Amino acid sequence: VALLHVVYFGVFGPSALIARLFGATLLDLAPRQRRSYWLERQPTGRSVIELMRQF
Amino acid sequence: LDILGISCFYHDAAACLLRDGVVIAAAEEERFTRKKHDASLPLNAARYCLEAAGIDAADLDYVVFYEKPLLKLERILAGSAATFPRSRRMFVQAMQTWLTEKLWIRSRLRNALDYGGPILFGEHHVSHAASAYFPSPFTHAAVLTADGVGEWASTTVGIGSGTDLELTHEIRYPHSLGLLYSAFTAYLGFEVNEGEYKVMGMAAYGRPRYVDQVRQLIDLAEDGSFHLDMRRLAYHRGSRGFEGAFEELFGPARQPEAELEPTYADIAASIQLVTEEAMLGLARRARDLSGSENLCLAGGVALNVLSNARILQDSGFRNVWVQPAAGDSGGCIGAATFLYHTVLNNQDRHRMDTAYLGPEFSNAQIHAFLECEGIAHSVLAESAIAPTVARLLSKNHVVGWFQGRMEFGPRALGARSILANPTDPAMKETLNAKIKHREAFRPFAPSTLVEAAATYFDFGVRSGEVESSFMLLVAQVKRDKQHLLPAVTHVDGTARVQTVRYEQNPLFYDLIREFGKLTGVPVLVNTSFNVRGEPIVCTPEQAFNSFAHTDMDYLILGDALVPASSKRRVAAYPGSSRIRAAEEMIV
Repeated sequence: VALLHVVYFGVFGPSALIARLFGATLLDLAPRQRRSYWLERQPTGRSVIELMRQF
Repeated sequence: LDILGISCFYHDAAACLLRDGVVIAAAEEERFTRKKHDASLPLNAARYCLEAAGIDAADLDYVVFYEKPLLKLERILAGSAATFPRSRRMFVQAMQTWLTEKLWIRSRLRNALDYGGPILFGEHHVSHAASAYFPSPFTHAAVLTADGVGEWASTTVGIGSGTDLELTHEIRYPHSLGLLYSAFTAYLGFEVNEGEYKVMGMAAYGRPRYVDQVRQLIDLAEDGSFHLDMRRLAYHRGSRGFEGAFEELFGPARQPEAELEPTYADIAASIQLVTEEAMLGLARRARDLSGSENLCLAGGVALNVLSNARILQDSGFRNVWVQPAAGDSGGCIGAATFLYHTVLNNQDRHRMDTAYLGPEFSNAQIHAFLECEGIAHSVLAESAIAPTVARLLSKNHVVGWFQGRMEFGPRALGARSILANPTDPAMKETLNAKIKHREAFRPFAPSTLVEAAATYFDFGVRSGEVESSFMLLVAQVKRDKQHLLPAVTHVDGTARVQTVRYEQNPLFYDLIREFGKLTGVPVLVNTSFNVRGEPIVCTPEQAFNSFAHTDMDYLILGDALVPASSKRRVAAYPGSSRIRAAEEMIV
């Protein structure tokens, strides 16, 4: 657990701050008013090869 | 072709066995480990499925997991980075479980099952969608899924046609109806992923006076999509779903076990109403996209029976089918059926007409248990079971009913049920206080014969006989019948109905019919066979232990009738009164 805290504050956090500084949208947290919030999906993988991937 | 489906590592871990397109076995892990909502790798459930199929893991053609672990990890890391440094607790908690367990799902499955074949990974919402569409009776349907969150998606719509299923649109985390509802669940003092039913039950006691405040949290677009104001919500950076800005809108959170104050009931009514409006909007979008008159629903939000009823009444769909294990446990069925039909292109679809997919115990096994423990009982002829139990119920006795294969999904449907007389005005209080040991405001559900349902209940649709085989629809108890059904009529005049056809469960059907002959009312109180905090019982021993720790009057295990005088405690109290209001929500 202590090591995870070190990773969080020493590596993960600074990287996150740099990414945010350069305008990366890591999560859609902005309040907004739009006509639609739907996102089109990529076609679902439908081969065994695609289903072998964990991503 | 044998496929083992697996869902786990969030809540309600489960496994199923699909043989040539037919789900021949399915069970939640909690029923074996006795840990409610157990999320761990469902090895007990998987072993049961293999045993039920009469095969070893080596005989399986595929094992398929219900989601993509690395996409989920990506979402957790992105969320932690976006909310640094407030995400510290969430990050540390998540990484502990990911680094030690969740990242190694493939090797853990291989080693635990001793299986060397292919292990595949579906997508979380595709699994939900497939669990709703492929077992449904439709050859063409709109599909809607809504839950807390999967990998990134929290809500999807799409179309099922023949053996094809495509989800076309989605709404992504952190915008999630399920997590919004869970935030209110935590705020109202209940356990997340457990207390959502209680919020629904509580809603009937309130007036939706806080709808405007709830709408400050969620923007509902005209096309059914929605967006949350994350400034007032906290689940994306920690375990509590709400924080100060949320309490500015609604006041201080209710403490667990506190008295039910009207304000909190009003807040429950408000989030319930907005959830119904949101689901209605989503369903209408699904109808517009698909042009179908059939809708298939799954995902945890599909367990919200009030919104299901609104969809049935107002969305324009003629038919609605909800997967009985609509939450994550049903994902294993979806992953397996998607692989079988869409990926492997098998055409033979099989309708899921019942949820009796779990373990069963023969009368010989039951007798052996009772005799081994020295528990006095009488053995009934098969033809005497229904009339005898109906007579006991008509005399206001409460009966533990343990028959056949255990249900898959969160509802007791007449296999592992506690049954009672719905015409007794005192029965609700008796069941809540003395048997289930749960909150007084929670309602009980009725089971009735499908042909009698329209006499007692109004599902709010104009034509056709409505079936609610899995207790996933709410109906109005007809005004002129409410006095006959005080134990199952909720404070707002509704009831969460199970309709039973003879072919689905002949013994349970006969029991209700016999009860109807004796009382004139073919309706029973049907509540799950467990006490508060305990998973539904699986084995005769667990059933007897629950029976022994409550004020139930009789227990019927197969053909063995056990009276209250035979009670003795064979194990510790199986329930729990511990409330975990700050349950982890998204890691």
